Amino acid sequence: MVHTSDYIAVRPDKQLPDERRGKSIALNDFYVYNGVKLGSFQSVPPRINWRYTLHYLRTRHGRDPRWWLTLLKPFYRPMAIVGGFYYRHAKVFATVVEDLPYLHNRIILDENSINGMRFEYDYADELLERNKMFRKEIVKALKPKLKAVVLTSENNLNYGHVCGTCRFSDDPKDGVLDRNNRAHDTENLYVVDASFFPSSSGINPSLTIAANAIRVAESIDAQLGSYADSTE
Amino acid sequence: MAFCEAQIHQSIGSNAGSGLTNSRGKQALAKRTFMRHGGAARAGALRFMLLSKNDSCLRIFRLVNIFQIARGLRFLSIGLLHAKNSHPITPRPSNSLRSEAPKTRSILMKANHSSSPPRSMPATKHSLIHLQNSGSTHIACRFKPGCEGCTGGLCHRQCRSGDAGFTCVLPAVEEYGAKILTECEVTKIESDPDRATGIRCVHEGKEMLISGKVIVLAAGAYMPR
Repeated sequence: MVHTSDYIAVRPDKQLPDERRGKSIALNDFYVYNGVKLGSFQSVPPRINWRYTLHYLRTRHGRDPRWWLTLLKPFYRPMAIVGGFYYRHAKVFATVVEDLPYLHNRIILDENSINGMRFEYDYADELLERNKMFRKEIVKALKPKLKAVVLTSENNLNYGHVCGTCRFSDDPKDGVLDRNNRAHDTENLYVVDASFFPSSSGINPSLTIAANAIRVAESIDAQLGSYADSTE
Repeated sequence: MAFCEAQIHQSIGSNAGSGLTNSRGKQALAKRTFMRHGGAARAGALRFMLLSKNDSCLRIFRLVNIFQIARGLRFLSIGLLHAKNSHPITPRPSNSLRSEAPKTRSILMKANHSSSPPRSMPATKHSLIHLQNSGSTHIACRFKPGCEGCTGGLCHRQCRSGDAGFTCVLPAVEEYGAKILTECEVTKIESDPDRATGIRCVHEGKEMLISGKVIVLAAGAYMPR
């Protein structure tokens, strides 16, 4: 599993002093919205300037199949300068949308691939719908004081948050790890990174991984204690 | 900027409060301060200019100030109060964006950060205030000296609470003792039918077999190279 993340530039309705320092803020209001799992909305470091805008134009319009957009290509740079100036006070936020487990999204053993493995991933239709809904609701919530522009295209897979390749489950048919992140078939093998996630969750995974590692460490400690007792 | 305001305030505001000086240079400085600065410095400068002419002006000014307070113009009234008391420290001008600052600060202090946090970026704070009643702030940064609040990328200041190396691994190594092999690639897990016995790895060009009672994989989910 991965996350899907849209980068959204939020521009305040009035000019604010520019400062280098910034804090991260995150909102979980949309984690479950009207019964639908969406995810979190958090600020990210990039500041908008003309280079960022130029990159946006090249990546987004460059993939657009409409032929007449290619006529605009020579004007990308001046457009980026104007756009960068207009959004110079904007803050960039990112959505983190929860990806759910599907059997067809998985690691496959393949002797022809590097490491003997490859993975297959299909973008689920329902995930696409949830992304559209999240974008729409965020833009609606920010209006009218804040103008929001979605900077990413529909292919918004976040490969920085890969997870769920060794899911945990009490049932060995559903996962390779037990509830203490120990392999079902191997009594002294633990997996405590993002692989154990049963779903990708709608938040940045770092702290969840760390919290779970602390929990699993107690289990490992208990197991090592039992080994020590047995050797005495 | 706050330090600069405090200094000007001391030189203008306190002298104005005592009514001791009336030189041309001070008047020029007061005029410049009034034109260029805000907050206590501006109020102090205005008061100095008024006091130097006539005491009755002060009464008019107080009436104007009451009118301003009634209109909610705290910007000037805070400055006046500080000029009157010759207070050396000028608070930052209050406006709608900064009204949420104490709340944010209390959240940060609860998080037990090592130093006082920097102010929020105005655009971020503006967004936060606009989305009132919409969740809490998550600040995974310790704001150590020199921290720019980058919140992303590699940084040597060890500010990020989400960095597993600085937050978990290194403190554990210091407390309990361990050996870390960097640039070591694990190629295989050796195992019996029901137990893992060790790992095969390549370190500095040499293949090694490391055995252990418990094997923990924490290298991250699989991602093809």
